[in-house]
Amino acid sequence: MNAFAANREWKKALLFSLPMLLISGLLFLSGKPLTNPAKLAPAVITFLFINITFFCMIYTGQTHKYRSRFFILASLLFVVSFIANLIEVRGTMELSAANMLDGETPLCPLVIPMLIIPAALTHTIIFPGSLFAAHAGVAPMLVLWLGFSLAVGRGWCSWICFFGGMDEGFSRLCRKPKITAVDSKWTALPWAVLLGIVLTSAATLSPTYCAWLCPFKTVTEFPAIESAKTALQAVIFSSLFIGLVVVLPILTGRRTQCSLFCPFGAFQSLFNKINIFAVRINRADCVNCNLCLQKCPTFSLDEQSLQAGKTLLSCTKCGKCIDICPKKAIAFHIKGTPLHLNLQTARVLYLYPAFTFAAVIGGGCIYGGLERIFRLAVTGSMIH
Amino acid sequence: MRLQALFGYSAAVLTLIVALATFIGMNSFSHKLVDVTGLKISPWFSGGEILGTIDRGSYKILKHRAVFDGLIGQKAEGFVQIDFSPTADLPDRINEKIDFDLDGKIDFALEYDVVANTAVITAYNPRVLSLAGCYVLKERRAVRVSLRNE
Amino acid sequence: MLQGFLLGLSTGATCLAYCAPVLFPYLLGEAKSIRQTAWTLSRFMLGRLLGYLVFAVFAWLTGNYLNTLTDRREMLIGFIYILLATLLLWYGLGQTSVPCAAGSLRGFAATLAQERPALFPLLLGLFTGLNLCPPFLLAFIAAGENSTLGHSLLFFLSFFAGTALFFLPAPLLGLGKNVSQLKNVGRLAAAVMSVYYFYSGLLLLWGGMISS
Repeated sequence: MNAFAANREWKKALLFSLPMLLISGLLFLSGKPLTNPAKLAPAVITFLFINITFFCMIYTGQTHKYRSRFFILASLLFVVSFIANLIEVRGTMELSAANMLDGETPLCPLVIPMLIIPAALTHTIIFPGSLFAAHAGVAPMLVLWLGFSLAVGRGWCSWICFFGGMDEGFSRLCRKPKITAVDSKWTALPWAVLLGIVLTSAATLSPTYCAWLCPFKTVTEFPAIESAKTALQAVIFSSLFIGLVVVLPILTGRRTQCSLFCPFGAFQSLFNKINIFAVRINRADCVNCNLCLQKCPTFSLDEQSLQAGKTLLSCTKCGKCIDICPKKAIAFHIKGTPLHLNLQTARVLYLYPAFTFAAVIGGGCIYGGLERIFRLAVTGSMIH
Repeated sequence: MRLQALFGYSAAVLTLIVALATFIGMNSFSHKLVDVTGLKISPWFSGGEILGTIDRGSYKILKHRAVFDGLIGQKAEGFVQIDFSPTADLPDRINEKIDFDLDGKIDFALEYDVVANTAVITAYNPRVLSLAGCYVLKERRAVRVSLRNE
Repeated sequence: MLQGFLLGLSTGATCLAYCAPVLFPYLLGEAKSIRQTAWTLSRFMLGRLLGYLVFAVFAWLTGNYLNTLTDRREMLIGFIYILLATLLLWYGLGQTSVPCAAGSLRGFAATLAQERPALFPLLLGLFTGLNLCPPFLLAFIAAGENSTLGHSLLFFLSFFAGTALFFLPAPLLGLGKNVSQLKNVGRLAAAVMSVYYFYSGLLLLWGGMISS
């Protein structure tokens, strides 16, 4: 690229990044107490990080590389801020029966599939939260989930899921995976878990996945261990965390929790059917090197789908296959538009909504975590 | 084909509007969602609607409705929740006779040790099974008693 | 009744996955229009329902017998739950085939389809309704807990309704093409549900031991 062309690319990238600067300024910075110096620094750093990440995506044409860094950092700092907040408010990560009766549990999006049947039949939410709580109330979380799912489908799992970021982080730790072959039948497990938890939750009118299976209770909040039952639950969720979120991603280099277990991920896949964005493979350019198959973090490509020029329903639109394809045969696509044309338009139109959600949700996590770390540096403690 | 492409690009642009509207209108959409669907927190967690209040001067006793709600119809077993508030003005011990189904007959006697947060119940109605739990909540104390459905 | 419906929903994918190889080739091969497919499917489902109701009567008789047999009924049912959960797990994760009566119909089916085409879907349904897979046995035990024949029939009727939800849209949606992946989901769902029944069984055993 000569100096003139490079200069033009710079300007073009800057121009495309301006809307995100406005959007993130409007959505991320609004409501932040920027007059408080202790909160100003983390807010400014986060704001800059959001916009530099987006600019780099546009300028370099690399989606996965920058998205992944943002995603993993947001996830790690989410844990920092969430746990610090719990310690500050309750003094423990344990959730007591009284906390549940008080409706103090923030609604986790993973609960949503379990809510649908009881909500439809009884008009009640089978979750110990509050409808309009300031921190992850049920109704705002449902609106957020619905908005995102309509806009980006299963992109949820690669752009804003703070749990997915942990899986992704561990999957990137080992450069050379020790386990390369995983039987494809295990990709059906999330659907089986989904079926199981939806039915048992409807039968018991309680979110069974949260009580028994959710691995992420290990790094968020969990029911107080007061009986053999809660002790057994703790053994199950911590084992699942160690196995599926830490060990297997390191060994396989894939997001095993997200692709081989998470029922919410399976549920989100359904939204890929109606979502306007997709990932398509140009068969004319593809040389069948199978690199995309081997590297897809969520097993969303197989030989059949590759031949058909499509990803599987479980695609999280993370952009990895697009970035690593040596022939640049894979691209974001807008359904209904001509295949393999206007690739940059499709990519930019996808990045805007996906990154808007990431900037607000992930940005909020990064800000929250940084704010706690700054407080630790200044006062010696993360909590008030 | 052109119409399809036009629809595709329009829908793609619309997703950004959806993203922005989700955040900007979250508060109003949330209230709309609840208004339209009539959603509320399951009585298994919230304790159910309050049926009656007994004023004891320095504090009040709130009787919730008995909860047997099932997915379709009712469950064989449920509970009734009794609240005491405000917590600051509660005596050390509370002895109450409770008529949970409002039929004019006492169903169980409750001896609640506020300091130790323990309770003993004496059942007068065979539908009253056992004490389910005592809870120290933010602005109240709550006692749940397990019941058998009729 | 709800329990039966939910049990049906939980096992419907499995039933569909195993009976689809028998049902779909016939449906897709014979029926020309959606209307014809619906008519064939309704006869198939009627046969299936009859099979289920026959089992409801057996379940009621067995349940009555269990009641007279022991005063530790809760423990016995808990034990059976655990046993069946083990079977469910074995069949979910192992390489076993399901003892679905329809599976053995292939040879007979061809003859019957030629000689009695109107009766064929009905009998096909009846035979897929008469099977001994672990989910069905679970339904059998659960229905046996009902005190009256009416309740037992109602239980199997709702169990049928739960499984039927998987069958009804299947031919229209062309799910026959993805039978192998559906089979994986069904098998693994059986394994997942086995954990639930195993836990329920343990609770029943524990409750029985405490009360005895």
